Amino acid sequence: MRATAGTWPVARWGVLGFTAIVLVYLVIPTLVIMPLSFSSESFLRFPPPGFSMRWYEAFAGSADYRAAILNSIKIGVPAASLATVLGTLAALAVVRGKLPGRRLVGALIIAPLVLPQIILAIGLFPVMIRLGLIGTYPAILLGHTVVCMPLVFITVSSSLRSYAPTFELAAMTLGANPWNTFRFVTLPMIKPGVIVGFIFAFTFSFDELILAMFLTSPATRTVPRLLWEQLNFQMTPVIAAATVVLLVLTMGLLLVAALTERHTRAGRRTEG
Amino acid sequence: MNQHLMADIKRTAASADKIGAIVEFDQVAKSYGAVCALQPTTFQVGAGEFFAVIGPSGSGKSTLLGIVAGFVPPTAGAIRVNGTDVVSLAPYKRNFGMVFQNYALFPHMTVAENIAFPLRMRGVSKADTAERVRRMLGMVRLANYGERRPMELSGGQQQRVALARAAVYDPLLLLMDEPLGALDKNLREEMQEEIKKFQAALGATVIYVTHDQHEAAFMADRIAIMRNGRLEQAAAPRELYERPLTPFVASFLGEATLLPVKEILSQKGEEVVVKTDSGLKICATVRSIAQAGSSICIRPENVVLGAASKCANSFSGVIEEVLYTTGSIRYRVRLADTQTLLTARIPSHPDIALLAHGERVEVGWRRQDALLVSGD
Amino acid sequence: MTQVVNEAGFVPGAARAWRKPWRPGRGNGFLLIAPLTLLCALFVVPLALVVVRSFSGPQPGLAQYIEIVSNPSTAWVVLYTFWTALLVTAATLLLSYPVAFTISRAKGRLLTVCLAMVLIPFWTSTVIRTYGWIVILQRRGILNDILVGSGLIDQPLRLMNDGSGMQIAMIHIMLPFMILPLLSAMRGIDANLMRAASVLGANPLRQFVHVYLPMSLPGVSAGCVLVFISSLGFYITPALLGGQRTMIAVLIEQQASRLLNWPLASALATILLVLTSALFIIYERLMARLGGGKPVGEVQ
Repeated sequence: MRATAGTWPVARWGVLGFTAIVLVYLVIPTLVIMPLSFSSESFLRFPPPGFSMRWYEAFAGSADYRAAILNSIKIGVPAASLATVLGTLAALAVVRGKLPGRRLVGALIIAPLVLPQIILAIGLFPVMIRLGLIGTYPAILLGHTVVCMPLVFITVSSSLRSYAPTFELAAMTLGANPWNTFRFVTLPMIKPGVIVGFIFAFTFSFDELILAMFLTSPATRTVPRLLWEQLNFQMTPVIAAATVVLLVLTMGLLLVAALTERHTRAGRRTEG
Repeated sequence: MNQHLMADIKRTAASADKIGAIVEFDQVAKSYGAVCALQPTTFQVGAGEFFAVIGPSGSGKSTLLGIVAGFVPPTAGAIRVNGTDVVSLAPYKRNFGMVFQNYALFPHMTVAENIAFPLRMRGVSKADTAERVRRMLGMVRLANYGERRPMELSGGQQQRVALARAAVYDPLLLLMDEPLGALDKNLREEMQEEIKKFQAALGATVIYVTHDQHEAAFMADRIAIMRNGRLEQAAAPRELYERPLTPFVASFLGEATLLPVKEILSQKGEEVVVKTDSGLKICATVRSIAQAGSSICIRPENVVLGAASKCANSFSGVIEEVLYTTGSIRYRVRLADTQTLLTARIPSHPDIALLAHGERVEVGWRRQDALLVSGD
Repeated sequence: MTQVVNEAGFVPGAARAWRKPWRPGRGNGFLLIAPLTLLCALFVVPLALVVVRSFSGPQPGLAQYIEIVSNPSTAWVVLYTFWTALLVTAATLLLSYPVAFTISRAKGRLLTVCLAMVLIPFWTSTVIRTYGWIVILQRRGILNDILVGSGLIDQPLRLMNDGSGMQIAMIHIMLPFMILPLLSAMRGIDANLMRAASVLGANPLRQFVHVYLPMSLPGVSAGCVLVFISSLGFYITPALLGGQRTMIAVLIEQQASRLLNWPLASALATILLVLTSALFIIYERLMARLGGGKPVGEVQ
């Protein structure tokens, strides 16, 4: 909008300044936690009175956190893997298939992500009790698979839509049966979407609280549930230290996801 | 085309024991609900024939190609390749090769891997594959490009890879869907020649879809002209141009003045005298029984300007438009009946003076140059 | 006219057995068996059970719903949830629109930085972000320190009791859900249209009102529905920052796991389910119109 820049500079700078303020508002709660995790005192005081690593040491030494992180991985990896397989299958059928009601199926698959988790949580709780699974790994693992599947479905669908089905048609004329077409053409083409979907699914499972509150037991307690319990009972900077560690891990994973996407997009730019 | 390539082509042609298949289209039709995309169509493509399909967009040519390839299930009819109906076969069992408009080269494979792909799908041995890929790369003049990625090649090079990939397994039939559509004019003309020689060397049967009539006329042994889901006429390019069966064929391939006929005054063998809607009496030629509701087709290069009294048809007119195109001059002449606008084209020459806008001129054409074509 | 070529052994239109043509993508339906089985068993059936249970209990029928409406405290929670969701949606839209506009015009490093500032909170756990807000908003938190220290107020604000702290945090958490759909709509607006409008003599304000705003509306409505749905079902932030003000999701959790009143919890969940499903259907329609059918915070 060059016209705005020329004639209405005040409005333009106003919008820019406003944007800057909102962006700061967006990152402040995350930024506040960082210095707090290095505080030398046990109360939440800002700025921290002194620097220490004691909360990181406490975090590293905590058996609770260690068990919770292990649980989160034990639940997140299989849940994300299962969600990746099922979400990819669903995306293939919905995007490339010729089924009636494909849109409806797509909406149904996305629904668990959009509807409030509390509804699913109180729905799954009695089902898992009936199945005798409550508090076990399979219970929370299956619950997370249902809510993570939409994430994979979305990323793989968008990968599939990013190129014309001509590639698959070409493979077929060249003699590839459906399985070989998938293995040698479709899968390599959607690989970034599948990887990103897996990372999103794992991240989501790693952060999910409400299903974990209902479906896990103290033995299968995940990180968000542990943080939650700690927040409700004691407010020491050890939470801040744990938070920072988890944040760095999450961001690292998402950075990998972002780089995967950018890499493939740059590679595909010249393709018809 | 260079010596090296010719030598290569000859060698391949000598080694090619197969010749392309005979393809029969038998009442092939496609409709989407009430919408008819292709009316029952019957024709045959001979072994080793280069068969072009042209027509405006929406004429059904892509539907036809899609049906042959197996992407579009027909609602009726059979397609027999060497006598076997392929309609119920999946595309990967048809053993056809196809070149797509945007080539559809797999971006995650190298050029050599792309060409090797169909051989790999057929379980050809590694050594044999390597040899055939090498030979194919040589044929399309990309011997040193095997390890590149498709996206590192120019449009013309990608085109040649696509051609090599579609032909490396000696398919029964080569399908091409606007293969030169993405190239610029000069490259396109170069590639036309190259594809033609490539096809001749392989002896392959080719069905080639294009919207470019010049391309089709240059490359094809026979051309099918499609319109509104119907095959209007299929014939050799020269016959299509010189003896069109319908006004649409006449105007789609090259340029033509079409004069609607009101009544047939007399017919004697091929000679016919008609009266046009605008009241002109014209001596014309007809290949079949003259029908009412036909049109007279006159090619611009057959119109004589000036001394036209020798022609069977001679009228006076006024120059309404003068257009210089490279090598020729195109006139639009309003005839004395005031309704008829005739297009004439004469070769340009430094000695010839241009006629001016508004100038009176005598125009005419021979009886055999006015062709009566049946209606619609 | 159809050209008929007759050669030896080829009889056009000869009656032969019509075999079914091969159809592309015909067998793809079986790919859905596993995902739909899982979805039925662990999503559709549990939700159906919730609805069924809401009509059961000591007095079957509509008793739970009557209880919700007639009990002032539960009725108040439902209304307050609605009010908060509306407020959060409106505030989020107002804050997001200029931000999305700026980002949609940004290039290079600025674009990367801005996007990162939106996406990092988007992917940070809500528990973690709510914790950050506690640090800022509590009685002896950063905000009160600054306000009291600078002499603007005498008594520290009780932001964590009257719901305002919860709303501040919810708006913050919802911002990316609004910015991302807006961005994807604004990216699709052709800058040439604005130039055309300015050539035709429209001043920037008119260009905005008559050209830009209408074209960004699909993004606005998609973002609003998404934020509204999420706000209705918010649990973490109200539970931690709401103080005495509660929202439906917190009430459901309390009824179910603390008071073990499953019928009432199910009835509340059913209300939430019906509302969010209706909104989700609207959202789906909007996304279909926005093109490509890419739901849920996808920007590219």
